[in-house]
Amino acid sequence: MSTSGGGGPSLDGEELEIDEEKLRRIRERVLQAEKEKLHLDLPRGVINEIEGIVREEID
Amino acid sequence: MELHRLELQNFRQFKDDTIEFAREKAEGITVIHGSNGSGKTTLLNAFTWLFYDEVDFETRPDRLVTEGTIAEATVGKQLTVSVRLRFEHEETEYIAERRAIFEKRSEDDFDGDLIDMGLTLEYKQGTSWRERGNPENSLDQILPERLSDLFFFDGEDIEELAGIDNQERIQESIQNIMGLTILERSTRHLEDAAGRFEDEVEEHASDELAKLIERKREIEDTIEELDRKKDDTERSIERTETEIRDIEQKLERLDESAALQERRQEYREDREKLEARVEKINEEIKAEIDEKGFVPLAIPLINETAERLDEMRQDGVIPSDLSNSYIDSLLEAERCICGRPLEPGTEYYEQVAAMKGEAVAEGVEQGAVRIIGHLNQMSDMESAFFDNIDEYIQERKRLHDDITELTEKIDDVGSELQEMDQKTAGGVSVPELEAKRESKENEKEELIGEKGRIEEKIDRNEEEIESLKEEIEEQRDEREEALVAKRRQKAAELVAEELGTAFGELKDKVRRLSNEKIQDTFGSIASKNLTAEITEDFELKIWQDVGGERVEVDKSTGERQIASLAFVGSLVDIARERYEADGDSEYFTGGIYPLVMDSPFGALDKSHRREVSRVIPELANQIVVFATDSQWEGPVEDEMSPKVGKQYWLDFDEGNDSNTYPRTRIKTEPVGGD
Repeated sequence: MSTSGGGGPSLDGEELEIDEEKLRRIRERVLQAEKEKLHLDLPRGVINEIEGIVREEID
Repeated sequence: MELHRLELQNFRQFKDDTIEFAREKAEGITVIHGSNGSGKTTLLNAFTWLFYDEVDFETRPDRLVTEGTIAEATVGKQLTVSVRLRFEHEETEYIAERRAIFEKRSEDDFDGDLIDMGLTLEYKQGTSWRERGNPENSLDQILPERLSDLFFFDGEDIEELAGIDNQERIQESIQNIMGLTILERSTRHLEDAAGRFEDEVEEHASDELAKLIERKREIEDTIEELDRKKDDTERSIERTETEIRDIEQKLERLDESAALQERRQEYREDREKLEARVEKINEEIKAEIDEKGFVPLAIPLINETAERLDEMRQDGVIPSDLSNSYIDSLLEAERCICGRPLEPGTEYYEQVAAMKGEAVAEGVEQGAVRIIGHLNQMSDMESAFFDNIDEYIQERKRLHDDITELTEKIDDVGSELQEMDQKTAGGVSVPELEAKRESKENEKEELIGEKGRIEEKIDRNEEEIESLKEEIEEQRDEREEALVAKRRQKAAELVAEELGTAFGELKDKVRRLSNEKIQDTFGSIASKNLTAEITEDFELKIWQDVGGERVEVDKSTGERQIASLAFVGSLVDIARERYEADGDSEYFTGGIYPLVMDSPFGALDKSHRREVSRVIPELANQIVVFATDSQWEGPVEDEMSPKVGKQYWLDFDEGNDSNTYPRTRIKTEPVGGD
């Protein structure tokens, strides 16, 4: 990862690092949501749901 | 999915009939015997009407209501047509029913006006039945419409069965049947969500960051546009190639031009082989340069080093004086390099003093001589390198000369064709055909050039996107909202990437499995010298071994029909195996699918009928076959009858015009012959 030239830490450094556990939870929850949508009555709105999952997990 | 019972009410010639499907694994075949026109295809249509509101009738496509029922009804009466299917899917029982209400408008109205239509889907939970809110979608998830003709297929269109020339379709079929769709969708939807977070970043970002994001998006749009153009160009190339093939086939059929056209084809094939050799030589030159290309560049330095080392050795700088004088200096200073005192007479002093001597000197000297030897060998390598490259270049030049000669011969054929008089049945002369062929060839070349230019543009744009992504990542933004959105975008992208990779790997695994299975299945049906393959690009190909060389088999042959059957059977089989096994991935789940086949053996010759009838029942748990007596009797019956669990006969009565109407009754006992 590189750092910005203009002083102070860059966002892609530590601040943008995302915990493995959080990523795992997002992955599981997204797959579960897709699975439910695949077989059930409400196939629409899955992107909204995924957006919501990411919002909740990365706060 | 396992079919249990199909009930038909007023559906075409079926007034009120039921079929119970065989469900035992060892006897999973249901045979429906019927003569031509007795309603076999109508039964196939009953499935597609129920699932997707789609029918394909050759006669009176608008008439769904049983003719007798509507004829006997009074004007204004409403009549119900329904198809009801009870089935099981992933351990849940379902009842799907489509009902359509028609109203008779006049005395001579035999079609009726559609008043209402509805689909319901109930599923069993415990002991009670509940209704699904969105039955169309649920049914489409259970058996997607795009894939329906893989499971409900008409033997007449057997070649189209596997979408044999449609790799996208084959790929989609495979991933859908195997249960990989969740991964594919998750990846796509996460990317969409990441896009939304990027919007947020842009909203809260500094001007500089916002500009970078805007630029990145513009380029993404450009790439999308270029991809579309590339697809269009590829399609145009394919179209032009087909047109060229058509013209050449016409030239092959005309007596005057046939021999020339054939000769031209031979020249072209020869030229292609030479071009392939040139390509190989280019690769060899590249490999040689990669491996030894550094030698000529390094040789002046290497020579200088070798000379210098040798001088040093001859001057005695290497090795003895160097090492002995160093030890002497330590002994004189009475201190070792480790700091320990070296007093004469002590054990340490003697140990260090013992390191002086000829053994060391000789070892180092030999080493120096060896190094000088190696360095001198580099000169030999340099000349060998130039010799090899020269040889390759000479060979390539010879090949280029041969290619030029063949190209001239090919052009000569063109000129000869321009001078012929014969015409096709449609009145087109050989010169006209040839001129058209040439202009199509030019068109094709231009299109290929265009495609290359588009690809270059795509590459350039993709490079720019990569560097913009880095710049965006490096941008410092102090606003909290932008930071959180950026983190969310990154999280969504990371998970999308991970799932996308898993999807890619599983897709490839499924392709390999499908390939193995279809090779087995096809191999056990087709002749020995034929093989079927699902390529890395998901193309279904059939190869023939001709004198040790693999040649692709043309379209519209019996082999392709068998390949289609083998393909569908293989998919159903792999999906079943995965469903029944404890999978190593929760995303590659497979599933159980029935095969419902209308006259599947009609288009095959007798020997293939036997093989197909032997293999197909091994691939699917449940099979429904519609067949005439002549299609059934003989090899098909021999092979399949031990596995038949249920049989029905379609008893068709065509009625007479005055008071009885066409009607088919489904019976459990044989009726009249074929």
